[in-house]
Amino acid sequence: MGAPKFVIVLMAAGTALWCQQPCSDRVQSLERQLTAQAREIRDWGGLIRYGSDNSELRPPAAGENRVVFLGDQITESWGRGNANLFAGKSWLNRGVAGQTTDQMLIRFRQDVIDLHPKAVVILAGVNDIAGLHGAATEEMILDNLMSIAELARANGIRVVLASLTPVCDCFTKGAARQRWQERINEVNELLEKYCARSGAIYLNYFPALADGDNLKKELTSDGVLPNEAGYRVMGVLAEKAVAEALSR
Amino acid sequence: MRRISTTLLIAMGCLAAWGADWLTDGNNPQRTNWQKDEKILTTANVKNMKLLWKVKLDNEPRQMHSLFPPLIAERVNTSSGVRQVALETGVSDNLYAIDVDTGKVLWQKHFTSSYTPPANQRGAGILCPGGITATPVLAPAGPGKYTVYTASWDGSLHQLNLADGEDVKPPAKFMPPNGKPYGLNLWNNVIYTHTAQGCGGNPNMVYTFDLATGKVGSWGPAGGGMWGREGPAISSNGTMYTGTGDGNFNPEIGAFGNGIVGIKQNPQTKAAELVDYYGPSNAAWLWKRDLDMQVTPAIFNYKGKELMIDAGKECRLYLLDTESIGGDDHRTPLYRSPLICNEDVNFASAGIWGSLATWEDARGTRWALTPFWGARHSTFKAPVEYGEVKNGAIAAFKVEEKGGKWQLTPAWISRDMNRAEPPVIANGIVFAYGSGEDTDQAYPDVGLDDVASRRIPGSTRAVLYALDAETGKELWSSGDQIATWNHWSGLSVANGRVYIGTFDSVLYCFGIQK
Repeated sequence: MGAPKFVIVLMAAGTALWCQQPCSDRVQSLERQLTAQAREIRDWGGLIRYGSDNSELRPPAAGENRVVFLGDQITESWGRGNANLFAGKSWLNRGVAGQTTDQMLIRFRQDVIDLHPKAVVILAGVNDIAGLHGAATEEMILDNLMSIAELARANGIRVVLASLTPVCDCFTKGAARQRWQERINEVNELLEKYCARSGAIYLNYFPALADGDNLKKELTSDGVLPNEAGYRVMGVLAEKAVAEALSR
Repeated sequence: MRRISTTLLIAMGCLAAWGADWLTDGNNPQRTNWQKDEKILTTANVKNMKLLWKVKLDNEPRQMHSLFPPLIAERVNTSSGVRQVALETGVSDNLYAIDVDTGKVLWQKHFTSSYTPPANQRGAGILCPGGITATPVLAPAGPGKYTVYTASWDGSLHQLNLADGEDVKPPAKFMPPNGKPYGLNLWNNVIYTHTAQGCGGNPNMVYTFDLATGKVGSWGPAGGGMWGREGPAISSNGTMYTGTGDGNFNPEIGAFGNGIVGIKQNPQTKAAELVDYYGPSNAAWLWKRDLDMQVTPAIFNYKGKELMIDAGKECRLYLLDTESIGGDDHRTPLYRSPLICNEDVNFASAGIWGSLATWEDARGTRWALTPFWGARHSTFKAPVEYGEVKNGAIAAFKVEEKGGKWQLTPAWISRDMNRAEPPVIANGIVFAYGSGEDTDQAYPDVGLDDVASRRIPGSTRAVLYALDAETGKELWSSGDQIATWNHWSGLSVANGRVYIGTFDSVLYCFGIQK
């Protein structure tokens, strides 16, 4: 074995020894990522999350005002603490963490239409802005939400479209979320205009939660998700919007 | 009179035989998969288990089916003396009687069938392999004498002498040809089975055969086929229970898909009649996602009640009271477990398949065991676990009543097994195996393509395990001694021997060398 070959073998052996533990961790980490991504592809719409629960629900009784809240993690987390908007009411939480508006469109039949609610409250789009599943423009977000709203109306379900809630960098270094703010404002403008021309109710959470463009620090746990106090503020507004929708 | 004589013969058989038999799938009509009479294998000596013999049979596999679990009769009077005999069934309409001391075939029988599957109907495929699809059942017919009851491909019920394979009665019509029945069960002189998958264009039905009169009864759930691998389980009052497969659950219109049904033979008319049923509260979801209730239940007595466990592809266990399996509304079991596996709602390669097992330890604790395919559900935990489960495992539960409420309390989850198959309990040992079968039915490149030509090359080898029944700890494994895999088969255990058949029609016998 010549000197260069010997050096290569020695380097390879050294790399293998050095790599053993970190590489094993890396492989396991990649396996976990692959599993998570494969699972997301197989259930892109997130139909598994509530599919079985939905099948156990009876149709609404006569006179029952069933309302479904459709959204992402902001909706899904609502009611886990004391600020439980859903207790004692015929209101159903159908939030799925991490979802974008196109995913909600896929599960809209299973998680909303088939439950025969009188109204649906939709709070969605911030994950699209965050680019969780690739870049999405404001117009793409609006397209998906308009499709959802039209499906609802076609099935006799009154529509409450919520503004996107503000974000802040109050718990994180840098200004990553500041970059979302302009886009959040643009989506909210589009939503408000769409509600005005379509007859949907615009549920504007933004002014009550924001200080300027920033989510008030005392109303959030991480700069995006509301905390108990934040949910209480939102709850008052949501109840009012639902009452208005049901009265129409 | 016939009933009395049968009971007497069974009692005589028990007295005469100090050893253990395995006369039917699951070892008894209740399908407990508990070999109570095992005395030779112990938790202390099972580590010394060896391959005693293997025999290659001339049975030709059909689709992915090959051999069914052998039935064991400990003392059979044959022309060459008293022998312990294994009756092995091969899918190509074959029966083999094997001397378990030597692994030699004593006799074999092939049923000739002129049946040709009709065109334009659900023909040959993995789901409809043709041939014998049900494990036969043995019944004592006198000291050292047993009758074999088996249903051949042409739909006939055959009754043979286990000693020599000769007919003890002429074959009789039992069901239409190519009906695809599952594990035959025998209770009070009536043979019970059920069919599935609509093979040959046949409806999915329960069939009963009254041995005294030859009368056949039938009943169908209007849709969902019944495909619990070991056939029905039978309760103390003679009601047979089975899960039902994909179909609408709507009793108002006589549809009982994705539920559990109880069927009983009317002793006067000999008709098979529905006497009870249960529909899971999420039956509509199960139907929508192809999550059949396709598992043979297990029935047992505990704390003065006759209880039943059952399961399905969704990967939950149900605990039911045979007095009324679903309560007044037919939708309320005693207990419904959380999801054990199948987080991805996979209809092919995850969930609970086959059959269950139950046993009672010396302290009076009642255990329920289930196999499952695929990874453990991320929210399901047991106090004792043996590493990550990726491909399947056995989960053990304690049956408990707390404050008037019944529950199944997780006790242990076994090591990972590649497609864990129905376990058998014998003398404090759980015998279980990973079949090594490629169970996938859909592929990223071609989509749904459930064909044997794709799955057979993807299958590997079966591995048999012995586990401590109270802790789930691995005591022994067959390692690479089993050369190939199996599909839709199972284990039999009796008198220090554990039997497993594989796709290449080899029957393996593991045990303790004397």
